Amino acid sequence: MSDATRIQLTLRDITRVYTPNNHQVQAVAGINLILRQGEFVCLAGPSGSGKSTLLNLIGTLDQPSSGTIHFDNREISSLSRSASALFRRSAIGFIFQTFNLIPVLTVFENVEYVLVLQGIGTDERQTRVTMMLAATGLTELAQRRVTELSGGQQQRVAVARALIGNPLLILADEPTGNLDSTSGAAILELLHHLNREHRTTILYSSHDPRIISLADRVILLQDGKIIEDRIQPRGA
Amino acid sequence: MTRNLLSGSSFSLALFTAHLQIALRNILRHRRRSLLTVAAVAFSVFCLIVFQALIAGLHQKMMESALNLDTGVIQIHAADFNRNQTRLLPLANPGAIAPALATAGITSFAPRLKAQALILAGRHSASVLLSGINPSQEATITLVRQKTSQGTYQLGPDQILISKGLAEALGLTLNDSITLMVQSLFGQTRTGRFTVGGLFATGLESFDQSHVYLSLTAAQTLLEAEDAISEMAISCPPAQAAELAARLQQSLPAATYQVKVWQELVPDLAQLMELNDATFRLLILILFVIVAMGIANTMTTVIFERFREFGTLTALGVTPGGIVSLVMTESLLLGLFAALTGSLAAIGACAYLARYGIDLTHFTSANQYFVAGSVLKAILIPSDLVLANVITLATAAMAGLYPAWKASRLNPVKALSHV
Ligand SMILES: Nc1ncnc2c1ncn2[C@@H]1O[C@H](COP(=O)(O)OP(=O)(O)O)[C@@H](O)[C@H]1O
Ligand SMILES: [Mg+2]
Repeated sequence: MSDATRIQLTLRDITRVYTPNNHQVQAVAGINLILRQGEFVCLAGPSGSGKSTLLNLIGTLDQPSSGTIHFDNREISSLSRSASALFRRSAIGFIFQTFNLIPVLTVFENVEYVLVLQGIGTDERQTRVTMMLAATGLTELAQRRVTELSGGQQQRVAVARALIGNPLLILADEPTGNLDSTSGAAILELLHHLNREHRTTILYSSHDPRIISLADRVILLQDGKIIEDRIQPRGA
Repeated sequence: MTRNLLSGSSFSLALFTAHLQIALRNILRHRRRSLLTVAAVAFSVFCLIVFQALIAGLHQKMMESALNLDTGVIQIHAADFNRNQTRLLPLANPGAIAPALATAGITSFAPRLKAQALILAGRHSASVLLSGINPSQEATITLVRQKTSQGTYQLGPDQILISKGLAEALGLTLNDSITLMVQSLFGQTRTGRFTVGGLFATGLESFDQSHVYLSLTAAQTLLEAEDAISEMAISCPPAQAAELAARLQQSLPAATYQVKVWQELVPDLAQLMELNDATFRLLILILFVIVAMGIANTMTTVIFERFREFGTLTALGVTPGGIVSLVMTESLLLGLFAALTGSLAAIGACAYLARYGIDLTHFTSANQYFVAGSVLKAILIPSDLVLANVITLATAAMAGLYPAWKASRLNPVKALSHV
């Protein structure tokens, strides 16, 4: 089986039920989904359709009420806290709408932290972070505190941080939600470029038609269900 | 691509270094809060160390006074001697004691012959404890020689040393004559005439009123005791008392000789010191419960402020153990800064108090435990300093534990959406 068609992620009958104030909310209501290695996918849908919940389940930050998730043939939907942490550390890169960088660290240190977690030695860390900052256009900002940067710059750092550990899957929840349209488009362009270069699978969510149009595949959610799953010609 | 997706360690030196950096920068970032916490804890450390040094000084002073007034650190008596008896009970074979002392390596000792006596001076009389002493040896045990301000301590055969207080009560001055009435070793009433050869004043009235001294030979003659003694007093560092006493008792059979250490000789002092220690321990406990609450409170605030950061770290793959270590590092850093500043300030204060002390004359003039002087000086014992720092760091660790555990159990989804 070639990499291009290798199944990476399988979701079977996934539900996630919240019970705030004793009434049930089905945030995800029976989802079956397959993602292949190297895909560039957008999870689209209006606010409240279950995009974040689904991304959190795939990222093992949350566990489904029922159903199973397999990643490279390993079940990841019921891992312990420690096991899921180690899984995320080696396999997943996260990008958040609100950037979520570590405020007391510099740009360089934020990106480097992932490699420290992975147990990479000092010299290799130095080389890899320098290269990643160059690839994401952050070389000039390396020694700046992240709190001094603009939103677009911070999200670039977040992208660099998500990619530096060579994850197999990048999950980005509304990565452009807090950016102006130019910065947003630039971030998407960067992700797209890295997807082609490294064949890293990228799954991002958005409710912005312009951002959705940049994906190769669009999965449309509504009320926690998939109502459309389409391949579209490479956008932009 | 094959990769073991669930392997990896939760600890490495590089990660610890990174967390140390994060913790340190966060402490510096919230300068005012950190400073307040550190100051409060440092103050506790300071108090702990200084109080401890003062108590050590107090205990030393109390022991000096209590033991140097009369008791000494170790005493040897006849086997069936007890403290309140009035009958004269000589030590068997006094010649055997000197070699035993030499074997134990003891050089400061003083033979004594003690008996109840009545002192008669004109119309006045007083009941006293008579001690026959060898002045040069006795001076290595007690401070009465230093407290002798008139006449001589080096008593001649017909001279008696009494206190100024007693002299006043009996209407006596230096070189006046008195009569001593005793019951001899054989139970007969005997009298002897002596002149007041010296006057002392320890400052402790009750002691002064009841103690008089003759030379050992004069006392032996008066009591018809030939060369008998009733007590051998020994001086040595109090900490070595138990060991030396045990060694002495080895060469002096228990059937004949009774060897007692200061804790048995002045049990009230030993108890008082234990009581002080217990009170102090309670104080430490209270102080450090407060310290723990202070640090725990700060760390809880820290975690609340950084919910989102802990959520992010969790998402990046930091294990619960890693989160615990991060929070604990920050808590321990606060403790460490506090321990350092508190210790430094305390060392300075102790150096000052060791030199100049605190004058307690107003509180101690009627107290037998302050005859050696009433200026309290701090004694900083290195092991106490180490202990205070260990307690502080342990407290900081304990205080950080619960917030750390809380942070490691945070729901990452909630933490990440926290504003
Ligand atoms: N912690 C929660 N408690 C209760 N309901 C929740 C919680 N998180 C999400 N929901 C609900 O689940 C549904 C899906 O939410 P979400 O996944 O955040 O959607 P999206 O990201 O597409 O906006 C919404 O109706 C939302 O109100
Ligand atoms: Mg959302």
